[in-house]
Amino acid sequence: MKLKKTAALFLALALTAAAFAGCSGAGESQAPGNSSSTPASSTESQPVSEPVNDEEMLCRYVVPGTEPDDSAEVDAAITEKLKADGINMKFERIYIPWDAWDQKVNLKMTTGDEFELIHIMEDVASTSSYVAKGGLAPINDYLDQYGDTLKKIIPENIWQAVAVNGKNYSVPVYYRDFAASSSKVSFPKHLFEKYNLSTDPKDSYELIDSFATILENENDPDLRLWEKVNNSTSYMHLRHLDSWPFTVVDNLFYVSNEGDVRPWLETEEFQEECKIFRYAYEKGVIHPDILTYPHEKISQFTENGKNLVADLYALESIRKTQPDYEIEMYAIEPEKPLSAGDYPIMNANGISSTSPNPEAGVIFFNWLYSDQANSDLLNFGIEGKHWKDAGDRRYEAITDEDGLSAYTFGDWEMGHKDLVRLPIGSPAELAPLALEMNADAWVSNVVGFKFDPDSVSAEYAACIAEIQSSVYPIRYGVVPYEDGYEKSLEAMKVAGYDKVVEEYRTQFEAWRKQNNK
Amino acid sequence: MIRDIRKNPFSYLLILPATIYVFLFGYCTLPYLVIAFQKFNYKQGIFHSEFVGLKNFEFFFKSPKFLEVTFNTVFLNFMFIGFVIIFALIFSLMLNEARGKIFRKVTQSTLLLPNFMSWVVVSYIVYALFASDYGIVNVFLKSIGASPVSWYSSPGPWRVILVLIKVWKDTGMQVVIYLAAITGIDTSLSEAAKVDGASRLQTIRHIIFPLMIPTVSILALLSIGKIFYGDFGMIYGIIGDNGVLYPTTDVIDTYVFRAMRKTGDPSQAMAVGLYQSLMGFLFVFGSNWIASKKTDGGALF
Repeated sequence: MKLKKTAALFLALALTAAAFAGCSGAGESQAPGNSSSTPASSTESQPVSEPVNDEEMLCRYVVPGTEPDDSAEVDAAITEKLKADGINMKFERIYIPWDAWDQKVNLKMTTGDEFELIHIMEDVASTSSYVAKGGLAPINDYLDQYGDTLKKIIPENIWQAVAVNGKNYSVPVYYRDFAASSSKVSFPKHLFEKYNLSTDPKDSYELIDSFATILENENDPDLRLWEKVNNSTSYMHLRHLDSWPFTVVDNLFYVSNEGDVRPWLETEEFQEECKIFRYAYEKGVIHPDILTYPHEKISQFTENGKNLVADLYALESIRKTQPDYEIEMYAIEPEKPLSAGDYPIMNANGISSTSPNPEAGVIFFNWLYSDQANSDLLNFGIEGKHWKDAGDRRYEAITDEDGLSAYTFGDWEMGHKDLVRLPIGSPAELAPLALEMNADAWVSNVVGFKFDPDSVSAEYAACIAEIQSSVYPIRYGVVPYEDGYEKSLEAMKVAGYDKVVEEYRTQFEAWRKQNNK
Repeated sequence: MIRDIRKNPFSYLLILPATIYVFLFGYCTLPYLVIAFQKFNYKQGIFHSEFVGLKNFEFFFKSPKFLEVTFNTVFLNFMFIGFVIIFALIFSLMLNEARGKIFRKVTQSTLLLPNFMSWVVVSYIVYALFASDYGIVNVFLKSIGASPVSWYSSPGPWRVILVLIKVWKDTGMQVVIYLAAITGIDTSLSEAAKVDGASRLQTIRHIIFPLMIPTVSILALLSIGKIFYGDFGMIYGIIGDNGVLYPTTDVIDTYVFRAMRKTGDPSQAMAVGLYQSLMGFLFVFGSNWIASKKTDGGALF
């Protein structure tokens, strides 16, 4: 009996401890070398907060991903360097795993949790959506006071691109050019040469014919046109149209070069996009189950060189198994300008409205971009322990016997184009794309304008849901345009599409008038 | 109550973790329900955000998909609850009658195994079965001379497929519960029936089955409380972003996830959550009333 009681007591205490341990994210462990961009655990890491003296300022940065092993050590080194540079600030990163990002960020903000910086992915939840809910604080005054370097190193048009109603709430991550990757098709050049196919097709139909020839001859069931990332408009396939360049926002709004707003689904350009994808689907270039295929599997195919729209950033990984793999980046009608659409900046770091010292984020970024050594410390860790300078803006990661690094941090998180480095083994072709900006690229006339859907929130939400339901099947060619278009347009109109487009037009025209655009 | 706690301190200690859990996540979070009626602002919090009445409910109730996703949610859940109970009952009664100890253990473990698989793993298994080009089902159809089916472009069969998957995954756990209930039945009743000449089938029908009804009823009532909640992990894992299949598979949770992806409005999400909870409560209340009238000991309260 006594044994039973002891067992019951032990069990109850263990369960209680487990319940509390389950509530806490402390003590999360992961394999060494886990990249911060790898979705894995659903436990949020918590920084170990030390007592802060009166003068010391906290800079807590909420960032998606899994915490690398040595992240806390690098944070401590950053804090030390900040203090050595005369800034009494403590830098801490709070990692939230990818699979829990939306929910945990919402929860953090809803409960008024204090932090200074939060990473923003514009194509997931935009700066304006955070601003609309009061999640971010304006930083223009802080930029004037503490952001000399920051204002110089990021061009004015990029600041405007992330502004909401003329005010800045976030620091844009100006680390890479998107005009080339949005406007150019990148395909496996070696396969085109192998089958004597033209490497400068006149339009996407000719390109798809070439893809079909490759598929017939290669006999590899995984090799396809795996184009599903972000579900964004395929500008690269529409360059042959007379109306180029134009902008499509959220797959809902079409904005012409002249600034006319129309429902995207009712344009000839959308019809053309559907026709191109249907052509690819019928030729077997698009996988029949494309709508269900998981994103992670598609990313895997891209990393393994199975995507006919190849990714130059994956070249290093592809060449591990296919050393002769070559990529050609080609713009259909190359004489026309490149365009990044409405996303010249995909990532930014917002200043939280819950922060007791919102200036900390601006001070931190100003320090980060003021010296190559500061940027290197954040992006690659401690020199000599985590990385070595390989010269020519390249770095060599120091890894363990399994080839894993104890510290990684993506350049898309806080990098700057003048300060980022490429890995030592990365292909030479990557350098111009990664490190140079296309100064001649067409800048969309919607850049800087942020649509506030608040007054049509019910209709906007219904349209966003409906677009996936009835429009994407046509968009990816699974359902023929002729069969599905009328029905899907009707469903969109029932969802309130016209009202949403009208509201977008009203806000956009008011913004243009106000800003003399 | 205090006397009872003093008398059974260890029993109360055992339920302490669950009590703390329910208190924290069931009661401490209740004040946040108010954001369903507010234009919630992170900075202003729940005490100072603007009150907007029922505006947050408009997005869902005015949606053209409201009836479709509500029907899908309730219909699929009814199918899930009903078929899982039926299969679990059949398997538990069969296993109870099986005499080979090793056979029983192996069968029980095999039935239970899918319960521990995540929906992500299950989704890959389902894809391996129903893939258009190299799926096992289509390969089989081709081998017998039948035409392959483009499963991921045909919404019709998916209700049946989802029910089959749910039965395969959840039956094992309910079998364990029902077997435990059968073990608790007084064996003298079965023995008396046997003495009176009852066959094994008659014993099952007239003794074991009626005595299992309260357990079945309670498990069903607990499931009915969640009848307005779609199994997001299951549906999103298996169907993904495939809009072609939505007419038969889109449930409230996947619809709200899709609609809120861009705006992430916590007030609208809370409004839908409140609707699901209220409907679940009404269903449990109604079902419990019926159970209290029709069964002996099968009601929750």
